[in-house]
Amino acid sequence: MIQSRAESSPGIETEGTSDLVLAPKANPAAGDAQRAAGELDPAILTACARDDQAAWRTLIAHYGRRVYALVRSQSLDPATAEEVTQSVFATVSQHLREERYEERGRFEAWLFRVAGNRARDELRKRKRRGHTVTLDANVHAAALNRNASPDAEVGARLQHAIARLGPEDREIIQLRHHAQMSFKQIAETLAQPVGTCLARHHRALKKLRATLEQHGDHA
Amino acid sequence: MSDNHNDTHAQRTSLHDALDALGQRVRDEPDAAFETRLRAAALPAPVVARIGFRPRGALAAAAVVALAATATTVVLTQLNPGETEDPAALATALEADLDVFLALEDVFTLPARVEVAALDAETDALATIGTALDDDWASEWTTDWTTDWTEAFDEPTG
Repeated sequence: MIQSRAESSPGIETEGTSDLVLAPKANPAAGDAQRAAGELDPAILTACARDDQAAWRTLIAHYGRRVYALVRSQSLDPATAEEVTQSVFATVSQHLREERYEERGRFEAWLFRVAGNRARDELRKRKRRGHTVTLDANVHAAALNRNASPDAEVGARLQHAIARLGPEDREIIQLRHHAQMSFKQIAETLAQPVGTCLARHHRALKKLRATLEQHGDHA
Repeated sequence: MSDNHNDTHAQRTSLHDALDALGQRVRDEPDAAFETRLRAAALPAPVVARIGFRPRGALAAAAVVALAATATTVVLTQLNPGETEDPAALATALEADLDVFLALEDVFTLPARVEVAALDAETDALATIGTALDDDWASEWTTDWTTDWTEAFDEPTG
């Protein structure tokens, strides 16, 4: 089932330019239990392979928006992000029905790897066609900032800061926070030890904070 | 714990939560019909797409069966028309066909006979003429070549 995101309402207050102050919480890996609890029952995949409509509804409800968020975070516009997400699920459907996917408890890792690759392919394709692809997330941030609430403002600033990170740092942030993956799932997706992923995430947060402090007054 | 440590921890967790909130905003971006569209894209149309995924052998077998059934129906209809048509109507139709056929025979055979007779007469006439010509030519030829050539060029004496 889709995990509830009620626990993540931030209650953010902004002080000065870019400081984000909040009541203390647990360590960054604390959400892992909840994220892992949201893993899909493998029987759903078996049912999907038989074209069970209810199973497909569950699968898409579980992963659809998470895949979309991961794809969208690659600086793709909403329409393209949805199109890419659809192509990812068409691939999933094809693999399941042709029994080309062998369930080894790593569906999620496989799914998000496919989504990441597809998004990168789309970016490359657009570059070849001469579309301007900018990693500066102005467009994305503007879209998210339509309802100019304080949360939206913070979101836009964060998005700018993420766009300024290196590809590796950006990747781990997107997998963790856009795709809502646990560190175990991230480790499987990136084929890296969990410890390495935790360290990468920690470094990425540190850089993100530095970027926010550096560019906060321009955000 | 020092105040500094608490501040750093608070900042880290706040950033973590802010990122989670940002991710949630992105996930909430698509409209309510998003999942329906996704399902439609993931699941192909029931008939057309499924045929595409069937093994070729099965498809070929189905085509052969359909062809055989059609051929059998046609053959049975042609060889055994009494079972599919009214016998009286069929007899009338056959009679009409026969009349037409006989009439056609007259039309096509009569001029042929006339022509053949004319051709015979013509041939006879030609043969007669030819024979006559042959006889004339043969006689002439015989005269020419049986006459001593010296006689032909003899100058009259005296």
